[in-house]
Amino acid sequence: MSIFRTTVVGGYLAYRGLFHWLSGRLLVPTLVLNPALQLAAFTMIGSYIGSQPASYYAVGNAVHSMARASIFSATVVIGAERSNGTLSTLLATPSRPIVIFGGRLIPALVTGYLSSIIMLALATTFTGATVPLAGVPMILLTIFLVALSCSALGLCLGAASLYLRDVFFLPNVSIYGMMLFCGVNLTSAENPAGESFARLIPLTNGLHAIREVMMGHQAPLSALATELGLATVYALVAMILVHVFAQRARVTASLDLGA
Amino acid sequence: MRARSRFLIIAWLFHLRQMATVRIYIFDSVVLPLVLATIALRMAGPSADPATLTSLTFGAAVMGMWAAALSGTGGAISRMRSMALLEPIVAAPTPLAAALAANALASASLGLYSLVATVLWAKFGLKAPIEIASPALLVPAFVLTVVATAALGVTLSVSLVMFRRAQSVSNLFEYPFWIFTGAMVPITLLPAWFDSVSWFIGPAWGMKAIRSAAVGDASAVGVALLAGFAVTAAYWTVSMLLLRSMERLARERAALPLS
Repeated sequence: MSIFRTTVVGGYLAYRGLFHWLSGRLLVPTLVLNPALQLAAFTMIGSYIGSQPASYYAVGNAVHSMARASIFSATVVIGAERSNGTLSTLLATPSRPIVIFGGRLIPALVTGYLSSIIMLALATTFTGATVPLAGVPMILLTIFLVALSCSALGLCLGAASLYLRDVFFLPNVSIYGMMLFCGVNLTSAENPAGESFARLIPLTNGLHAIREVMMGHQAPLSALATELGLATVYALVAMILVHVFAQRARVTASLDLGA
Repeated sequence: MRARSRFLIIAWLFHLRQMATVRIYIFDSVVLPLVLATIALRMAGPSADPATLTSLTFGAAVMGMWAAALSGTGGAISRMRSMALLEPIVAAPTPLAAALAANALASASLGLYSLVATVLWAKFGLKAPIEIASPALLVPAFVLTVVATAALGVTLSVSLVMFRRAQSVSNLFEYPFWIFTGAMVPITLLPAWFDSVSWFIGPAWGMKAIRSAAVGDASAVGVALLAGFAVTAAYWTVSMLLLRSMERLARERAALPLS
C-alpha cells in the first residue's frame, strides 16, 4: 500500500509540481500546437522532396511527437530535481528512487499518449491517411506500447542525469536520432545503414506496426512483441542505473558523480 | 557609443565562448543540422539535382542556426530569471537590449559551426555533390543570415521577456521558421500567402541570398541582401521600442513577470 501510494499518488503530485507551468495557456501550445507544427513542417518537406505520400510523414511525425513527450517527461522527472536543487533531499529519503521516479512516468505516459492520438487524428483529417475501424484498438494498443518503451528509454536518460549535470543533451540526441533512424521520415530503403540498429530502439517496431494496420494489414505481432520487450529491457536498465547512481551518490555524499 | 560597442563585442565573445562549451548549444548548432541534412538528403535521394541537394544542405545549416538562436535567446531569459539575474540586468545602466543582442549574436554565430559542419558532412559523409557557383557571394549572404537570425532572436526574446516560461513559448517558433524561411521547401512552391509572410522574416531573405549565391545569380543576391538588411533594421527598431515600453512597465510595477 505504501509503495502504491508513493508510486501513484506521489508520482502524480510530483508530476504536477514539476510541470506546474504545463497548465492554462501553455497546455494546448505544448501538447497540441508544437507537435502539430512538427507534423505540418515535416509533411510539407516530405511532400516536396520525399518519395512517399504526405500521409507517411504525417503518421510518422504524429507518433514521434509522443516519443518526444514521453522521453522528455521521463528525463525531466529526474533532471528537474537536480536543477531545482532538491535531488539530494530526494535521494536521502527512505523510499527507493525507482519507486519515486517510476510513479511520475504514469502522468507523463498519459499526456504523451493523448497527444499522439490527437496528432494521428490531425494526420488522418488533413493528409488523407485512413484508419480502418477494425484497426483502431490495435493502433491504440501499439501507441501505448511505444509510449511505454519511450518512457523507459527516457528513464534511462533521466538516470544518467543523476550522474551528469547536462540534463537535456541526451534526450535531444535521442529524439532527433529517432527521427533519423526509426522510420519517421525515411523508409528503410532510404536509410539502410541504420536499419538493424533502429530495431533495437523504441518507436521503430511500433511505428511499423501502426503503418501496417493503417494499410489494412494484420498487425505484425513480432513488432509488437519487440516493442514490449524493448520497454522491459529499457525499464530494467533504468532501474539498475537509478539504483547504482543513487547508491554511488549516497556513498560519496555527492551528486557530482561525473564531474 | 564606443562604450556600448565595446560592451557588445566583449559580451558577444564571452557568450560565444561560454556557449561553445555547453553541449546543448553544440547539439543545436552542429549535431542537429547534420541530422536534418541527412534526413533531407536521404529523402531527396541521390538522383536529385545538385542544386536541390546544395540548397537542402544550406537549409539544414540555417535550421540549426535558428535552433541555437532559439535556445540561446529564449533560454537566456529563462536562465537569467531562474538565477535571479534578470532584475539586476534590467536595472543596470547598460541597456537590456545590448545584453540580449550580444546573447543572440553569439547564438547565431554558432551558425558558423553549423554551416561548416553541415557542408563538410553533406560533401564527404553523404557524398552529396555540393555546388557553389559563387563562393564570394555566399559570404555576405551568410552574414545577412547570421545577423537577421540574431535580430529575430532579439525581437522574440524581447517579446517574451515578461513570460515566466519564455523557453516553452519560444519553442513554438522552431517549425514555422523552417517553413517561412524556405529552408527546405522553396517558398515559391507554397501557397502565395507564405511568400507574403516571408517578406517580413529576415532570415528568409538570408536563405534566398544563400540559394541565389549557390547558383551564381548576383542580382538576386543583391536584392535579397538589401531587403534582408532592411527587415533586420526594422526588427532592431521594433525591439528597441518594445524593450523601452517593457522596461517602463517593469519599473512601474516593480516586477518582471508581468504576464
